[in-house]
Amino acid sequence: MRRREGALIPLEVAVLAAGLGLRGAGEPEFHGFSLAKAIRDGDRARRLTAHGTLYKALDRMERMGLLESRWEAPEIAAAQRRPRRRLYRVTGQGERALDEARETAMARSIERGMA
Amino acid sequence: MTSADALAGAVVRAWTFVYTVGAGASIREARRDEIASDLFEHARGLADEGIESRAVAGQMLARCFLGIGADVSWRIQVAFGQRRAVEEGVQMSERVKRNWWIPSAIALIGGGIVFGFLSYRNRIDEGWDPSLLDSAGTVLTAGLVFVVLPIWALVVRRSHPGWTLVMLAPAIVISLSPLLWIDEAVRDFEPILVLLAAAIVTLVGALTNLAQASVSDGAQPSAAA
Repeated sequence: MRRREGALIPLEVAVLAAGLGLRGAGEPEFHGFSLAKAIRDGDRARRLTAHGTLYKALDRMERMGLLESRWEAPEIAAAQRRPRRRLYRVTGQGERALDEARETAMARSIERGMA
Repeated sequence: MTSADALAGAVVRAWTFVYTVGAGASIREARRDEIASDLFEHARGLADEGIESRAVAGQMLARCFLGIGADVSWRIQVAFGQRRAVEEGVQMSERVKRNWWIPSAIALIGGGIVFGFLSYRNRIDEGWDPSLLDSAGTVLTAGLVFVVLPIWALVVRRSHPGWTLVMLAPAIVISLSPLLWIDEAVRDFEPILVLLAAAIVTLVGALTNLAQASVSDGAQPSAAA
């Protein structure tokens, strides 16, 4: 999908919305799979986002400053007998970008309704 | 994990291993660890929801296959990013090779100003009583030799390396002159060694700059050819 300058693509909007939704539910940091599930639940989709699509988007969004990530301490993962998680969180810039994307989408739908 | 989702997980990990081969170690390990974590959470999360192992395995494989295009394009981006980083590294080392002596030339300029000022004050203390014309002449000459010409020399060092050497020569010669009475000079004022070192390094740097420029001019194909 070709990106308009400064605009978010639908997956990025979904990632930010799901990330903020998880934050609202008391999970300020989230890992890839919890995000995939939140996106699926938010979109009422049947399928989880594909690995490549999801992690490529997360990588790109982190470089854009919309997300931040850190690896959790290995001791925590070892204590819970699971691989360590990469934890993401939505940045202030990410929140603003989502607000702008929603405003733009709303303005466009109003324009379409008036046309 | 049960056998079905373990098998699916192994397939996904194998694919991840394949497309991350050759990527930088940190990028490669991060992606492999992240996929391993995702697979584990996927199996555990859906098992908790009571979803059958075979269905979980199917979802894992579907997520993998549907993401292959994105994986490949991500890998291409990583490869380009790495090549760019290498090229930038080469450019940087090329720049360092060309400009390593610039700090010494700047030290020469700074040292020249400081030592010029100190020796001017010394002479005043020793009873020199310059006229306005003498003072202006001294300041202008020192400024020309230690500030204007060296800065100009640095600016044109690539386009006119020969002139760079010529313009730096007065500052270098004056700074090296204490070598003639080195014992006395060092005894009187030890930091003079810094100026001497800066002058020697700058001289070597300006000569190297001239040699590099001659070599790269020689390597250029002639317009007529």
